Amino acid sequence: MKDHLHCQTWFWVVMKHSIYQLILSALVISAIQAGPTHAQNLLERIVTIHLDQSNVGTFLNTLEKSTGVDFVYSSKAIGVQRKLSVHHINQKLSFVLENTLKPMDIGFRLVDGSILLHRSAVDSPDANGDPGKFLGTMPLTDAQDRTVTGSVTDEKGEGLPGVSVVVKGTQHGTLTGASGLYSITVASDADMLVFSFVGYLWQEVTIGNRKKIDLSLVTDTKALEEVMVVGYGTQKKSDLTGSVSSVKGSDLTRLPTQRVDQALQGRAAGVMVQNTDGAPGGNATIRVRGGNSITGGNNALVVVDGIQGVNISTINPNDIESLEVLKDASATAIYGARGANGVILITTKRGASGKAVFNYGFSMGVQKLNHKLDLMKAGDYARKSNDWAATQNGTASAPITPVIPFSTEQIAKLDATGGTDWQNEIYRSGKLQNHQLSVGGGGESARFFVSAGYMNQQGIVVNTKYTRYNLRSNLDLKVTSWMNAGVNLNVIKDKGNVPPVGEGTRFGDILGQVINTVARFDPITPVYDANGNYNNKALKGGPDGSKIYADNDVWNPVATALETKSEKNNITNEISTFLDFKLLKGLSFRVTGAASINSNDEQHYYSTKTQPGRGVSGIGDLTESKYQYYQNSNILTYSRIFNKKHALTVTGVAEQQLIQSKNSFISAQGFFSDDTGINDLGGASQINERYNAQAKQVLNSYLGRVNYVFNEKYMITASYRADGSSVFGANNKWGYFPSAAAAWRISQESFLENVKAISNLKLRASWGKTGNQAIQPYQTLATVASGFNYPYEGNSTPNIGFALGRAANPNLKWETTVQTNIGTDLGFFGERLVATVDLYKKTTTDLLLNKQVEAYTGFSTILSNVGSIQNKGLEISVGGKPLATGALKWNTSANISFNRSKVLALLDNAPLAIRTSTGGGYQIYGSGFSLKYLQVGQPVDQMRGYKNLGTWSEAERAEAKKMGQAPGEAKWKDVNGDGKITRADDGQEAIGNASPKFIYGWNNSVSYKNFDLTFLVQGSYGNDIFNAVRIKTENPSNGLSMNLNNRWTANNQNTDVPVFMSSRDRNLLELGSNQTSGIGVDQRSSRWVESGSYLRMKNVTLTYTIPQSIVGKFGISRLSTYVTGINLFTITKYTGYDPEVSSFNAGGAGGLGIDLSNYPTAKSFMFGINLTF
Amino acid sequence: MKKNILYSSKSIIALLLMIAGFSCQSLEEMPEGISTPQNFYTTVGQCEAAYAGAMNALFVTWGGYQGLPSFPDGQFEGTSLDLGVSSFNELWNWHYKSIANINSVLRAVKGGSLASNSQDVIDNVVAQGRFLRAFNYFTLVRLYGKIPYITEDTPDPVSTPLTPESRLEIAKVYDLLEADLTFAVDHLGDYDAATPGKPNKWIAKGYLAKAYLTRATAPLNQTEYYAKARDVANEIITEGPYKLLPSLQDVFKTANNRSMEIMFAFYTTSQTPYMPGNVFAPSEMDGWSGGPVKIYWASNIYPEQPRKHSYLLLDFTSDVYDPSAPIINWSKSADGVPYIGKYNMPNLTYDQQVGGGDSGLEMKLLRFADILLIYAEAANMAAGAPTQLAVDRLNMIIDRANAGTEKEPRATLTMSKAVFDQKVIDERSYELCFENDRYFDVLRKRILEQVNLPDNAQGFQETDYLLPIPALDAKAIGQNPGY
Repeated sequence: MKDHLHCQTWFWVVMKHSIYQLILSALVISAIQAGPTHAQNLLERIVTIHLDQSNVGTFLNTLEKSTGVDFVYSSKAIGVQRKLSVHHINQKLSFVLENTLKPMDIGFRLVDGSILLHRSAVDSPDANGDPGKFLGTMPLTDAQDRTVTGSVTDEKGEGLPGVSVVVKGTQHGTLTGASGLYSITVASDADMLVFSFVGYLWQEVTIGNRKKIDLSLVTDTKALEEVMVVGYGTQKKSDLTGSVSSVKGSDLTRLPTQRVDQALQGRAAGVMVQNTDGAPGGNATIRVRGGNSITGGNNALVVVDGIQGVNISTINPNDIESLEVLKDASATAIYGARGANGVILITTKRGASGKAVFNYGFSMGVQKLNHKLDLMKAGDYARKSNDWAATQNGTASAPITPVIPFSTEQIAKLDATGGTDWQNEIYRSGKLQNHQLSVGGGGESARFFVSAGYMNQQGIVVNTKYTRYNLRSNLDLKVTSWMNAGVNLNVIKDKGNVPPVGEGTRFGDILGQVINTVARFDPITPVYDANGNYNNKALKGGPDGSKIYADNDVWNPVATALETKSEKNNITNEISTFLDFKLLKGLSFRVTGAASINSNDEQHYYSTKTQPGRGVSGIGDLTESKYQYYQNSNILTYSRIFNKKHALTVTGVAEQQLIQSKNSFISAQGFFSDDTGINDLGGASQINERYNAQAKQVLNSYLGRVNYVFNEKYMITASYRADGSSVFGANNKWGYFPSAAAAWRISQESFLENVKAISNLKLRASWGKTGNQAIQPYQTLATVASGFNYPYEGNSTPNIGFALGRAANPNLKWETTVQTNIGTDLGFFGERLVATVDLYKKTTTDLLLNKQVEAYTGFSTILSNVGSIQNKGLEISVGGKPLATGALKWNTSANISFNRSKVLALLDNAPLAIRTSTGGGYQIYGSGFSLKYLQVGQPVDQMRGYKNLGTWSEAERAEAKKMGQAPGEAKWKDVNGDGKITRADDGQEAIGNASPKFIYGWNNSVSYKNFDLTFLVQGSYGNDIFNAVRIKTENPSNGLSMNLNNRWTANNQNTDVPVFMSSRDRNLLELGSNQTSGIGVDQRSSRWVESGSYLRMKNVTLTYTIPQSIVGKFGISRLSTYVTGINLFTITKYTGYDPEVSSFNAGGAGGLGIDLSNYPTAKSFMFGINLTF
Repeated sequence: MKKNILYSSKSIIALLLMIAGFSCQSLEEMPEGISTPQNFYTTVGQCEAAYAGAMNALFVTWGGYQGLPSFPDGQFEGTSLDLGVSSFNELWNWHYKSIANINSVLRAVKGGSLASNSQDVIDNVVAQGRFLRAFNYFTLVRLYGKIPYITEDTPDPVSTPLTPESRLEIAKVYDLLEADLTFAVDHLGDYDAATPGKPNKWIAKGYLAKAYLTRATAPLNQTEYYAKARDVANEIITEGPYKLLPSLQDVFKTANNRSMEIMFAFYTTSQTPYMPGNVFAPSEMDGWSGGPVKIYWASNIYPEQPRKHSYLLLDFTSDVYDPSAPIINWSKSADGVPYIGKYNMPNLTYDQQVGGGDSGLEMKLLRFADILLIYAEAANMAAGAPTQLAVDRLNMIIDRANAGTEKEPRATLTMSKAVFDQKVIDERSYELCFENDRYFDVLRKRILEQVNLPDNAQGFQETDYLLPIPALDAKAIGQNPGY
């Protein structure tokens, strides 16, 4: 123990105790330095430099060191090996650069605090250049007989100032002015004009007899090489060897829910996002390339500005600059034991030097239920109830006279009023609004980005809401010429109220949850009785004033919604700091420290008017949890280009992570007053359950990576990570995760140089191992656990009881996923058409499964590394600019992902039931049986059950009788052909697969003048959904589904809804023993399996940008207004609320594709404005 | 020069950061909120908490014996002799889980975890554990026959799997559990009103008497144990604190859960564990229709007497929520079966019946009435004919059941050994019905087929006298014949 204390170094101390001081001091520094500085000062710096027989590269390096400026350039483009000699004493940097670089045809420009260099045929002055002044410096050539004028615009149609316009083959030229206008004299019609500008593709135009030449320049993706964030560093996109999908921050902010996870849907190949419930603040699951794990969780690791394991829901999409999804092992293996499920890297926005930029966004709108379930009105329901009641007539030997609940007059009355539409009582139009404000700016020594946001959302179910406040501050400080520092702070607070939905309540009863009961409470009973109290039991009336109650398993949904309190409060503080050192040429060292502190409290209270709370005088619980995460990464990077052709980057990291969590829970009942409820725990007469827990988890890691690029053609990457984790068993504390990848840019080869159509062609291949360390702390230790109380002494209060929790498990370790990937990146016609295709195979071994152990040990299961799963897939994404140059522009991109999973090995290779215990009473899980099974050779998400073949027709009477059934009754497939249906043998057929055959997204942006239309179509194909809700809604005795009207009758034999058959009639048929009784109440029937395919118009946004000419007068640089429609339409055959469902806790493998009545997805309409100045 | 200084200062700062920043957090886990077998069991209180946990393995709200499927004992409706391969697996699991927890205490105590206490205190803790262990094995040996008798001295069965040789002969199992019970009898304290449910020497003696009696019958048929059973039972009756409640209406009242007739039970409290009152109630009482009583037995076998109407629920309200609703007979009810009277009103209050929470119901395991009947059976069999004391003690039960009506004939000295024995067994089935006792009588008297006649004895086989061992365990230690 002493050792541990001793080892608490200053770093942890700082992280734990001094975070706020640190922030404060950083804020003070920025306040002092950000004010008076101006970007232009960079070029005003005074420089003394003496270089003889040196080269451009050395010249730039020397300047970098002495002035602290950053140069950004392509070595090849500017020719860093070109020789030069420079002698300047106390000159301004701008002067030195102009005098040195200009003669070498190198232009420079200030961008984001760095100086960007580019090769140009002519001078390229700085961005504020005055065309007139430079014209004067141009040497004049021969006679100028005419003048050509025009304007140069960017892709959005905005004027581009500073574009050089030169007559080809001459030194004669000019620059465009502030709004992109130019004027140049030319000698003849045969002359050509060359337009060039940093970051854009140059264009040559033949003049002919034109006097006015307008054109639009296209971004040069090559010149402004896109830099991608990869784990522990960045890489040029062209140098990537791995499979990485990238999404721009601006694409993520269009959804009104303002959630990154939800907004990611449909935008990246290989990434499946599923909204598991539509509740405000509800969850989404993200799976990258299918699920690898059964018990370990399948959500991707989220890394925000280097902080690992961030909860993606705490990120404000407006703060995101870019988002990268690392998919193959070459990209993810660097995250070792946490990388197996893919990695999402998020980079937040940072301040740019220059004038402060303010941005304000506001949006508001409404949400509505997408579509209502097709349920009976009161009259229909009464008729159905009468028909059903008539069948309850006993047996031939003991006949019963059925009581028919509704008289003809009553039905007529019900037809007239329509009864209660419970869906109308529960669902509403929910308002939502959203404010976002950000300021970014700074000088050369300090830059800042500060943003604040507020979001308020009412759910579409009464009494549901969600509010979020967030604040971010990102600071970058240039401490010395060789040291940079930064502080990022993110604070987010959110709270919501959503009574439980999905798989039952906290107390395991679906009657306590509103979405389920709203479809099941009969339309005859009004919401309130004559005294204004809730009608809790459905009273179905009855003739002559007698009482007939409906079945017990319903509860007033309005009472459930309004009288259940379910409050969640969450506060997250994330802070990260870094220090960057430039140690030697090409060698830099970065120390980062990060802390994320999350505190969360949750309370539920079911009042005496709710089903769980009645009879026990209210029941409720309180949960508090605290989560602290600390991370220290020390990253050494060496990056250099040797002999022009060999680019080498070596990264070495030592890292440690520490997670500490604490939580407590108490549940109580018997409250003195519903008003105070769980808020007055002292008023509870009984504590039902209480526990608390704390855990600590340490991950010590060492990792390295080498990237080598030869001549921009051949590239290899190799990485290796060693993870030592405290949660692994004593015999397996360290895990090792290697990876290797290679790529070949064929387009750089000489034989393709002249094929103009192909602008990029790259082949990639990778292999690597990653892990999933999904073991909870202390899970490898033998434990004696509390919580097993029993009145051992026989008194009225239980004695505290402790029991063996689990056996020691010293061999437990991570799950290992080996992934191979081959892919290609294609670009045609100057990147106007791009495509990426990836093919992968992932094999996960050492799967963590609860292995059953012999019961005589005293334990039932031990978590063990057994089993293996494979995922194979294909991802294609295509992007293009079909219309790029005219007034009408169109950008489009589409992606499609195929994934196939297969179970390779299991314990004993016997089918393994997953999720066998649940609340809900749907009879689809239970002890020893399950809807979902893992089975060797079969897909992971396979559902198994009884194959329903519809109903027996009249013509099949004899055949049906052999099976002990009558026409109109459900017809089952006799799988083993023994002439009867039994639970053991005939419930083993595959009846569905929850995994889609493919998922897809299609993203478009069309702009015309000041109008901009974007839309996203997204969907899924080939997946099945088990619509468990129908088990209840199509229950003949009290179901409400309109499908019951389609039940079998002599005139309607082609249906899968069984007949209402009287028990006496059935008796008289002498069918022998009912041979289907073997399946009992088991509801794993293919009748409830529906196609989950859908195509959805996820988002349509029309933006109008008010012309610069108008808003410019008010000092506004951009003002736009937009309207958005979310989930405008969905094409699907699924009959539940929404095909994009899954069960309540879908984190594990078993939940996917089972609809247990989750919160429905909404349709939203929004209006918003966006202001920048 | 200046350049060099620059670099060295940079390097020093970087180096410092690297060293300082990387603290050495150990990968060894030291939980602060979780106990381990190595640091637990160091006080008497901790050991007794582990015993509470061992009982919790058998009986919890919604679990354990509350969810035990009905045995085909001729008293539950809807049972079958087609004993599914897995239907009673849970029972095996609960008992071995309980045993593992007890052995964990005994192992620690043997290793000296209580060394700072006096030997008397240590012996008492060990005696409690050995009593509970015997209680578990007694159930297992009767249901499964040859079983492994795992003790604190057995190597850890997780790392050292058992083999078919681990299954001991039935007599050997009885020897071991009798040794455990005898130790308990010698070292447990007397009945203490402050801790009425805690194992005491009388309870241990009660189980010893029961074990001896079982040993005297099938499958071992070691008749010399009748005398032993008789003597121990007699000791309890004459010297112990327990007695018969005068009125049969009082026995199962939830208010009388700690009456002096109850020796041992699965106890409940309003907190945990508890049993809801509506589980065993008919639909008319808003119940879940659990534990229906076999119609044939209730109608044709159980003698008509006040006890029948108290222990069985034959007539009940047609709407529990409506005080004016008429009383109906089970034959007119929706479910069409009688239910267990011991588990319903009037033994429960109205609130306990319909509340959905704790109903005060307990599962009795050993009652003084049982001891009287053990005595009567053992004394008759040991002597070869009924003794006066055997007759008197049997008649104590019959008289109370008749409650003055004389409807069921009393036992007499003139009865033959066999007739008297049959009368005792019958009396046990009436008095101790639905108390987790009848099936064991059925097994030891070898009447499984007989009690399931006339309608559900199909497929009876001699091997039905033992349950199947759960598949995974059977793989290691072997399966009982017939499965």
